[in-house]
This record gives sequence, structure tokens and C-alpha cells, in this order.
Amino acid sequence: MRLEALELVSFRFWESLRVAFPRERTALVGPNGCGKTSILEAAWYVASLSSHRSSSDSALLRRGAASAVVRADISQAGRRERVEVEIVARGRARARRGGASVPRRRDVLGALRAQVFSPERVEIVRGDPAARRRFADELLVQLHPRYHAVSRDYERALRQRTALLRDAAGASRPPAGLEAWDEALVSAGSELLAGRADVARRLAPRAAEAWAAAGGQGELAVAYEPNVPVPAGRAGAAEWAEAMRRRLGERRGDELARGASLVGPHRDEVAITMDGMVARTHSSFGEGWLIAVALVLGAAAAIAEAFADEPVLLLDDPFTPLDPARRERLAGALPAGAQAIVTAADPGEIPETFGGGTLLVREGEVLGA
Amino acid sequence: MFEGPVQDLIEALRRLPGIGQKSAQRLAFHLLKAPADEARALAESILAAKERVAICRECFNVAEGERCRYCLDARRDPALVCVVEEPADIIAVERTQEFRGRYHVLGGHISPIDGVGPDDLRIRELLARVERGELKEVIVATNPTVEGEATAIYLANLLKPLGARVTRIASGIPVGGDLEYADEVTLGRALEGRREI
Repeated sequence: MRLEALELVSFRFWESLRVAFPRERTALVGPNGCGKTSILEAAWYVASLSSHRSSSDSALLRRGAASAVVRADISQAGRRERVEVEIVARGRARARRGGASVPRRRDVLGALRAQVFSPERVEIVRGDPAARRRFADELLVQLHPRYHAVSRDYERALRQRTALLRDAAGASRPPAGLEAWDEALVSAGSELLAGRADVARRLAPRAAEAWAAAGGQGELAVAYEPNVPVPAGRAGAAEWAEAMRRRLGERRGDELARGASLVGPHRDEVAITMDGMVARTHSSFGEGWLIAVALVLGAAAAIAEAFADEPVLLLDDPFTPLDPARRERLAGALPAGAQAIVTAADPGEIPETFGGGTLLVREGEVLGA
Repeated sequence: MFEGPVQDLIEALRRLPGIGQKSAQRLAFHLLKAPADEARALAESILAAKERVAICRECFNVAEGERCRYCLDARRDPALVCVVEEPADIIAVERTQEFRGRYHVLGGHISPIDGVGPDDLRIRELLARVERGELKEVIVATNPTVEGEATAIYLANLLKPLGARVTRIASGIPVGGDLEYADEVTLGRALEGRREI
């Protein structure tokens, strides 16, 4: 899959920009704060309908703008398709695919398959479990777009159920309607559990491979640690639902006493270890960086395998903290045949093995060089 | 900002659901340009609706009297009831011309975040209808949202022990639609709810 061109309107710093990516490898080079990162962020937004840097869409709008638009020309197996996504601070945002409006914005998911790395992604390794859950769910959406709606439904059911428990905290009897919210939670939660288990199974070996290829020392392991007991065998959503219902039954008393939802995938962990040591606490900054890169490349390999087609790699500033030998290895670890767009403030950071073309980004424009 | 009555009108219109600042202005200026009779007719129909329209004491649909037209219609099957969230949902079901039973309007869905619990909806009244033995089948037609589904499950848990048959409307692919363009959630549910042919 290729991202042929990208158009940004009122997105972050850019008033209007069109940039083409005619080659397999592209480096966007320019000083700090010139808008390189926003270009990758816009591409990732089309792929995931979310930003990897901001949880609020209003942060993506150019100052004073009520809406932004990102258009992406995507080609796959000789077929070209244009996807257009509107971003609004408030109200309903629209989207178009192949020139036609789609009923829901999420209908454009799957048109562009990608993975993104940026310095903020080190959070996946060194941050809270929430960052690792989010990363797993992003990959899940890339593999199965319907999970975008599943995880949104889960969030809603969780918020509703938590509000019910909180208002009834300390009461001797369960509040009216709790069983209905249990089922709502189980309905979306069991799908999420099954999906994350599948994602972890696909990601683990490929992240370990990418880690080794990028010159990492020791053994990188990724393991899903769900909040409910793992059902036997290759469990589907139905088995996870049973496990979740049982666990809800066991913890009913605690939930009522504490007025909180204590069971479900919102309390999952995706454990990342290096030679058995927890990477969150035991990795150095440089190691954490390289692990995050390996996770992103591993996720890309999982997507490539699932679709028999390489996703687009969006790598924001991947080389900066690495020594020259590691930069070489990392560039060499990028899968052949995959489109990669990287950014760098200093062109000297980009190893020769990366190859490809350079686009100079200056305030307000992008120049081919 | 406009002055006096114009601004009052814009602000009054803006309080209506689905109306933003721009729509409110457009409506206000449309009304100002319209002949006086037309504006008076609108005002009178709002007043008349407020004064004359009541709530049906059987099903809580809007009614022009004690009971709504569906509860008064003797040709409709009194043992079959369709449970909806709002009166507007009845219009949607009626458009199908397929349903010949009665209705029950809950007045919303369960939503703890908004402080709406089962007691805030017309659920006790629905139970009373079932307990009186009037109803044989209850079709739950709440919206296919997280809250609508939770409300449906809550109703089913309460109604089934009373011996009523409780069914849920199916969700799936719109007729005349293309499978290729169906979103994956809808298609997933349609596969789940598949039936023998």
C-alpha cells in the first residue's frame, strides 16, 4: 500500500499544503517546529481517525479554524483511491471515500493501513498500562476496523456502569439495572478481550524479530495480561464473555463497596519485558526508544502478514537519540517493499542505507530537493 | 447581536433541539419576512398543542384526550405491544404499516451518567400492563445504542419471569443496501442474527 499524496487544510500549523510521496522512501527534513510532525500526524489520522499526540481533535485545528480537512491519495495493487476526512472541534465530522460521502466517518477505516512512531510513543514502553492498551487497540483497529466501534461502545458502557456503581457506593443491595449494565459491559468487553489476545499473539513474535533486526540486545517479549482469567484453548468472544461474567460475579461485593468497575479490559496490561525484566521500569531511555520502534515495526509486520500487503510506515524522528551504528541497523530493519516516511531535523541523522528522496520542509511550504 | 424582540426570538429558537445560532437566525428572519397570519398560525398551533395535547394514560404516547389513537383503535391487537423510547419512534414503526399492535413509550433510556434510572422511565407502568395479563408479547424496539441495548436487557430480565414473551427487534443490513458498503458493525450483527431460509 502506498500513500501517494497528502493534502492538509487548516490542520495544525498548515493552512493549506499538498505534498506528494513519489518514492518508496521519503525523508522530511527541516528545523524544529516547521510542521514535519503534523504531516505524519495527518496521515495517521486518516489511517486511525485519531492522533498519536493528542487525545482531543480540537488540538488538531489551525488556530481560529472551525474544521480541518485531510485528503489522502492511496494506491494499492494498481488501484487509486482518495480518502477525505474532516476534523471538527464540535458536531458531526464528515468523510468521503472514492469521491462519495460515507454515512459514518469510521467507514474510511481500512482505506489506509499504517503504523506510526514518534518520540511520544516511548510512552508505550515507559508509561502507564493505558498507553499499552491504546497501542494494542490501534493495531486491532488496523487489523479489524470494526473494533473502532467496539472500543467506543465499551468506553460508553464502562462510563455508564461506573456512574451507576459510584452513585450506589456503600449500599447493601446492588442498584437497579446493574445486571443490564453488566451485560452491556460484557458484550463489548468480551470482544475487546478476544481481540487483544489475538493482537498480542500476532505482535509478540514480530516485535521480537524487529527488535533483534534493529540491533536490540537480549530477548524482547510481549505478553497479554488480561484482567479476567484466560479461557482455555483458542477462546472466542463467547468464551471470554463467560470468563468475564464469572469474574464479575466474584467481585460483585468489592465493586459495590468501592463504587467502581473493577472487572474488564479497561484494567488489562500488555506486559513488555526484556530478558524477563519489566521494560517499563528496567529500560534505559535509549532502550525504551528502540523497543517502541520495534513494537511499531512488529505491528507493521503483523498487518503486512494479515493483508499480504505492507502498511505505510510513518516514523517521526526515529534516529535522533541513536548512535550512528544503531541508525544504520534501524534503517536496514525497515521491511523491503514498505513505504516509509521519516522526519529529521538534521539531514545528517539519516543513514545512507535509508535511501530514497528528501523533501525540505520550511515554514509554510515543502520543497523537493 | 440584534436588538429587543428579534434577539429574544433568536434566543428562543436556539433553545430548540438541533437548532444552532445560524439556523436560529435564519428561522427568525424567515418568520419576520412571512405574512403576519403565517406567524400567528405558527404561534397558535404551538399554544394549541401545549393546551390540548395530553399524554396517553395507557401507553404514554402523545394524545388528544385520555388515550392515544392507537390505544383507542379496537382493530389493533391489545396483546401485542411494541416498547419504544420516544413518541417519535412510534411514527417510524407506523410508517412500516406492518405493526398492528399497541405501543408503550418509555420516555427515554436508562443512562446513569445523566441520572436516569429505571424509576425515571415508564417501566413500572409497563410491568403493570403485563401483570394485568393484557399483554402476551412485548417487542422491545429501543435504539440499537449501548444505552438502548442495556434498557432492552433490563426490560427482558423483568418481563420474562412474568410469563410474557419478550422479543428484540433485529438489526442488520438495510433493504436495497449493498453488502459491500455495509459497515462492519452492522454486517457483524446481521451475521449474528442470521436465520434459516
